[in-house]
Amino acid sequence: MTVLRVRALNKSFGDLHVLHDVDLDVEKGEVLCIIGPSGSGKSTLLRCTNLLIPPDSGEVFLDGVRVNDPAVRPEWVRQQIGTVFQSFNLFTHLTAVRNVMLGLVHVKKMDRKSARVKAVLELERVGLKDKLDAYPAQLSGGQQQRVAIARALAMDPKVMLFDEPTSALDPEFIHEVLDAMGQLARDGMTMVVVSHEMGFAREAAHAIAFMDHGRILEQGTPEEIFDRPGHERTKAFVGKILR
Amino acid sequence: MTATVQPPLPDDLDRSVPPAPPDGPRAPGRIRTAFEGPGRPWILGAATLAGGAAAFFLMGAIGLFNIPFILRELPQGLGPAETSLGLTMLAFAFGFFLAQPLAIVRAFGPARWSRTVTATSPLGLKGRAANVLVRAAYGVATGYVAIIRGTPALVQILLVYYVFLFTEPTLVLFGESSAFWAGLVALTINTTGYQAEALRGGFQSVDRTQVDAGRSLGMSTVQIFGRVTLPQGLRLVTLPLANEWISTFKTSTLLSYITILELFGWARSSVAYYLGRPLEAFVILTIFYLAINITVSRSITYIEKRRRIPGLGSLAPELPLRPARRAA
Ligand SMILES: Nc1ncnc2c1ncn2[C@@H]1O[C@H](COP(=O)(O)OP(=O)(O)OP(=O)(O)O)[C@@H](O)[C@H]1O
Ligand SMILES: [Mg+2]
Repeated sequence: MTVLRVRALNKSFGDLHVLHDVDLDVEKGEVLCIIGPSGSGKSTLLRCTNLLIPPDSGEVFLDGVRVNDPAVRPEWVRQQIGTVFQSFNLFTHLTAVRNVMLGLVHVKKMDRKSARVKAVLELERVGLKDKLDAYPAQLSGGQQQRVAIARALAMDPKVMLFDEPTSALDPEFIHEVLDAMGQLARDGMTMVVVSHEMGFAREAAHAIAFMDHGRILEQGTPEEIFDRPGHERTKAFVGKILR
Repeated sequence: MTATVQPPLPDDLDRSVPPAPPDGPRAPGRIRTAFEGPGRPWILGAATLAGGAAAFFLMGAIGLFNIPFILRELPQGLGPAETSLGLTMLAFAFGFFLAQPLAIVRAFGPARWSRTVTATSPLGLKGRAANVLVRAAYGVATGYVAIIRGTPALVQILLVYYVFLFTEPTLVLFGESSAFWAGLVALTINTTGYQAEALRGGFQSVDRTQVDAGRSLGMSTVQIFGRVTLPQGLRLVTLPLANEWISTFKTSTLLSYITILELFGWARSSVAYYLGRPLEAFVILTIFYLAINITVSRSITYIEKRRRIPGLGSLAPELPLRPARRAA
């Protein structure tokens, strides 16, 4: 079953044509990694997918439902798509557990008690049981990103989007976030991950898409993309990041 | 990047980096003075106050003014300050609520805030009519703030007073005269403009990433404002708002010009003129205003410090900021 389907997506910022007719299919339980040079439109693609920014043209389907449609509330769509940002984006005025609870209480309309139970559960899953009442500023980058993952997961999303989740982290904290993501992948979560973490891509990803200048130039298994890239530009880029 | 009005807020002290121990490493070649070090910044202020008091007694000793008279006339309790305080608090509270919509429109009105802020249109409204409406509201709010900030408070007060005088000269409401209500309205109009600007700065200082996070969870524009932007923004402007309270309190002295017998009017008319002791009158006033304003600002600083959320909001300005220390 295709959870996420993107067809002929286009996006421009003024004169800058950032996405050109992008197509994407993500099956249930699939982990898709998107790689590509800076400025190639990876973040824009994710932000168009969860409608944080409106695509200019093209279609986004979630579980077969066309969601970039004036008749569909974007809030309803975003609620079903978990997003993890490069800079964590935790609510700075709320503790870890209240960060996770906010969406449950105000979007899912859960009562505070059950929201808290669920939030604690999600934080336990990412190994932060002892940090429930810490404010984001009191957490390390790795811990903050794990809270962010728990916050997104608590909404029971159909698919999780990760935009360079480890690139703002000090090296010693990267593995704990990747571990949490790997666990998520093994649990069968559908994931789209923009990341240049080769270890994670090889181990957890089912497919790799190489993006350049707003187009998906090539898509294949990790072996195909990393070991036998078909496209010159893929070859050059993979060469650079594998070094 | 979005343009923020306020400079980045110092938050070094509350990072997970533990603060240096009190007797920790000192900057080489620098002598520590009694005024230095965290937790003791009040010493400077206290010293200044003590100096002021000493000067006060010295001036009394050389006969410039009559200290026993001052001590005798210094009213017990708040007495004549009641009118000043009451008007200030009422005006400030009304102003706080009236300032919210102005600040929202000023902060988020036209899409100039950020190119990416709105998938829909400004303030979450859709369509052309909404856009025109938002622009009009922005214009009105901006004009209002410009008028308030661009004219003397005394002029605003007299203007309102004469409007009341020419329309409802005999008005009596809750036992208060037309002049009182004119004063309250004028003070409210004034502080609304200033509070709106302080709040706008706070709202705009809330990081864009916070809004993105709320949106990605499926929260609506209104929910994000109420649950994220407002609580964070208010924390960012606690000190500017405290300053505005003090400023309003001082502005209330001008109400004596429209026959309101508040603190200043009382001192001027009854002590200075009636008892013929102008110097003493204004010494008493100084003591009064200082006592009230210092109490207010110290309490707010204290509450702010106690209720501070790590990583959010500014430190009290008088706290010495240690240079950022990186974890080894
Ligand atoms: N809101 C915006 N307004 C104008 N231009 C934008 C905006 N967002 C992105 N762009 C531009 O679109 C292009 C693609 O940006 P995007 O962030 O999607 O790239 P990316 O592949 O994620 O790069 P990186 O690896 O550096 O994160 C860039 O040239 C960027 O400057
Ligand atoms: Mg990016």
